[in-house]
Amino acid sequence: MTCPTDETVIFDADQKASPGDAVVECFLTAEQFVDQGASALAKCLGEGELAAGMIQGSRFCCAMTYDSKGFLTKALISPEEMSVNMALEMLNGDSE
Amino acid sequence: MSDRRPANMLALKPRTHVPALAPGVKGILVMVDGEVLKDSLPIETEAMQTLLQEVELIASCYSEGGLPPKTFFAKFASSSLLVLFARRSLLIIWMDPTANISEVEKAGRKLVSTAHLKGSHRTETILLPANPVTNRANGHAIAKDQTSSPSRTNEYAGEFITPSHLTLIKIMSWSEASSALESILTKVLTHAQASRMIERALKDKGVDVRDPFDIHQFKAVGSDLLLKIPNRSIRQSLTSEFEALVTRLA
Repeated sequence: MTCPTDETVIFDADQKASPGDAVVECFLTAEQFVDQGASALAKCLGEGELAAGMIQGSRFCCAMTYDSKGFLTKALISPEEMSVNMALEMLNGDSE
Repeated sequence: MSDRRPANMLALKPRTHVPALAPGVKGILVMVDGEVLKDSLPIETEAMQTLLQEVELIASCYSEGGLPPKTFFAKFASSSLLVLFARRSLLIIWMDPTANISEVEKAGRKLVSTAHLKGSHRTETILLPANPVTNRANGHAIAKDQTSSPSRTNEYAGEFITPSHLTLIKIMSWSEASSALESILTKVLTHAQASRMIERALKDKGVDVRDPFDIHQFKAVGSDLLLKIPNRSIRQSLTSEFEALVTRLA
């Protein structure tokens, strides 16, 4: 996957349109990828809904959090390499 | 009891026991070149096979641009799954909510970057976090210490462990070190290119591969080569990986 932005972008689920169409489109693709992968893995582990997910590649990072009902709450797209902890902290700490 | 694993699927070895894990880590699986070296995931064999297939599917689907993913993370209601990828290896870590994800990821990254070098004994480095930390449960520090007494108790699991669990594995030859560096460089170069560049760099530094391994020379060679990567973001990423390797070997 290729990052459509040269800086880290964090946005709320209800502001999906604000970061720009390219970012949103990229996020939706990445989210689908993470969600499908995580769902398959969850079955093997006897787990349920995804609460947070992340995919990190070279020059691309996408992370997301969900609420208890499974709705997307926050999303992150970045060209930087991030640790899981860093991505989650950014998502949890930049809610406004 | 018969082994129901499909022979043609993955080169699975009998599941091996990992004696002690960092706090909150439920189990790990290490795979190198398609072969499972360590598996302590507390799930049925069939579920583990499916899990591996799904992880490989994630890697292959993502690798469309030629570069594999580095990390896949999924947090569920009562556990988290961290999958770390390297060129030849992958590491799956299953954690409960008490795990220190940051420490586990650091240790895991070091492990997966070098898991191919010496075989399964390297997987034991996951037993403890990468850096000396304080065990929050009882306030005792556990340090990376090569001079530790053999009778030290693993305070995480209450099991007896030997000093080898507390030390980092050292590369003993230039050949092995070159392979480790090559595996990092081949994320952006072909094997032949990486190999040629390393050979040239070693020659420029006056290193004879038959000489005893020198970590400082190795660091200089690797740093010089990584500086030649034009893309800043890739360069930073691979430099971090190389620095983790050097730290591990120092």
